[in-house]
Amino acid sequence: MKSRNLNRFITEYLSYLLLAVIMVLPLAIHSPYYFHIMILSGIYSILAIGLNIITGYCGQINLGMAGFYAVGAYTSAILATRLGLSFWLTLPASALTAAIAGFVIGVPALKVKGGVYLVLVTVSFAGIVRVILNQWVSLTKGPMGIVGIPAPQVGKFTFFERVHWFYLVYAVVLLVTFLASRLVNSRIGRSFVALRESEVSAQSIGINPAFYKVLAFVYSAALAGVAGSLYAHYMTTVSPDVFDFNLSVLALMMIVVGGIGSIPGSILGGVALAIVPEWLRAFGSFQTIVYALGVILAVIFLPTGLLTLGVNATQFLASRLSRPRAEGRA
Amino acid sequence: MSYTAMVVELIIGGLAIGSVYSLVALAHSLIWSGVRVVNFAQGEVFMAAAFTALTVLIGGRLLPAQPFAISVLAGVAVASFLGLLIYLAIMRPTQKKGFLYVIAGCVGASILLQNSAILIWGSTGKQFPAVFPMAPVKLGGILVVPQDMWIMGISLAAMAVLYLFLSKTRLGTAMRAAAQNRSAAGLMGISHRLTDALTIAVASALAGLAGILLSPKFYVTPQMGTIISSKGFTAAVLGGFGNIPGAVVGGLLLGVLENLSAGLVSSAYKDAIAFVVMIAILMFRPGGLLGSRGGRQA
Repeated sequence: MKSRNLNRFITEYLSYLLLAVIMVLPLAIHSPYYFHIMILSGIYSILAIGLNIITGYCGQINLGMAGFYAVGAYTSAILATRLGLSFWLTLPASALTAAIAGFVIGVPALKVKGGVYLVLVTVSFAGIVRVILNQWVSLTKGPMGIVGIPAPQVGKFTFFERVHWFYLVYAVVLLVTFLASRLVNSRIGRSFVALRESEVSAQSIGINPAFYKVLAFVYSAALAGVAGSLYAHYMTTVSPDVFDFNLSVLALMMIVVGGIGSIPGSILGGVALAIVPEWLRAFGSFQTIVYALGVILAVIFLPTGLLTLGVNATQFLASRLSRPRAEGRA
Repeated sequence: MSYTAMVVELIIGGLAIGSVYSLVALAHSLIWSGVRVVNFAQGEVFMAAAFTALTVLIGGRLLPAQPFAISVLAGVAVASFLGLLIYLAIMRPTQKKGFLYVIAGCVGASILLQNSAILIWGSTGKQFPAVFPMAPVKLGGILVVPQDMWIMGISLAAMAVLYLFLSKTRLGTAMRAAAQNRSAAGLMGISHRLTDALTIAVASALAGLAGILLSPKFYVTPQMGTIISSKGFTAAVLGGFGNIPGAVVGGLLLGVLENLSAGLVSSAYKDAIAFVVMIAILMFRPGGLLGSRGGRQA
């Protein structure tokens, strides 16, 4: 019973604890720079949760998150600047268009067997999106990008200052975390994991691989769309060069560093990959090189992510502390 | 100029760039069929070879300018070495943990190499000296650029050497045996550690050669590898991933397809062609045109 409680804590409550810590910190730190980094962390966390559902839980490697993110960001940008729609309408619209993109790419992705092909399909998808963003100038304004995306409003209140954005973004992160935690702890989430472990045995107990794989694609794409919409409204400008291959890679790094198949791990990874490059600024022109070395070392020596490392350490300490009692019971 | 002549010229130009795609596709396919991993940092191996060749060709304080042949050898050697290094340091330790980790590690390596190149050679592109004659020559009513002929000729020669190596030498036969069935090859006394390393070295050398050949046509930049690597993937998948003749056919076909659509339709979406071809081929004929190699036993 106890380990089950611990499990429940790790898979569900830990996310809220993390978010609570992040949301309380502004009381102590007031710098606008800190808010900017934490807002990006929040947006990254949503992206990482989305990727973790398709890649971590369902086992389908997706290296095209930048494509879905871009679809979300541009949907918001175009709807807000051309039609003057408010943020509260563009956000769900972005989730919807990204989800449609997820469906469009998820259905053909079913046909390919083996991780390498799926990687190629998703990379190609993101590549196509980027070419379209650059070339369809009448819709996307091409390489110049779209500027002047309005800030969200509630009545007469405008989300203009960084503090407001911080709480808006983390409110969305909280909602996404809640929905994702409910999903992965449900029958659907267990089906995802069953598919990841063995497609054949999942099928033998009546799990339809096609349905669940497409569902995972659509769900993660929708979350990427939400993240993209927040990004567009926060930055007030979008341009194609933001949504390059490196962004898809960044999303993958977040879940590798944070913890594959873990919602709190995704939040941790999103925050870590927003903050660490800032710390590395001290290295000057070697910044990215140190970052890349860190990534390589993390992949080789930290295969289950920061979160599991922390949990293992806690469990180890707990077992050390409770050993005398455990022996007594035995 | 007649329409047919233009189409023929576009096809020849496509074959030239396609032969370079073929070399990169061969590198991907050799590694996949022999070692069952994918080097997602192949593009950076390609870029490093191009920069090395450029540096040796121009020369500097430490080293006087060298002839083109020497610079090619230097570039290919660096490519081979980098490929092996990536394999030993990243791919081998992560291979057992899962494919996701191989990808993440390789991508880390490619960021590292790209930024090292920026530090060493600067972030702006460098012009590669014209080593091949550029002025078009008229052959039977068709304009041919000698540079394209050279690129195609050297690529095809490299493929011929690879074919002879794989089919006529002991080491090449051992490589093919290990690619077919690792444990049976092991029972025959073939060390798969040796063949794995050899496969990676040969494949990386091909990718490096491709980088050097393409350099006179475009600028040499730290980012040049990314797009070529993905086109190499498309070419490999088009011919059948892991299929050696398929990689050659796929590369040539992709080059022609790209050049024809850019010349006859619109060049705006030229780079999207490769991506669309990739998704279409995986949807309708996942095995590629010549069929992909089935999984290696054991």
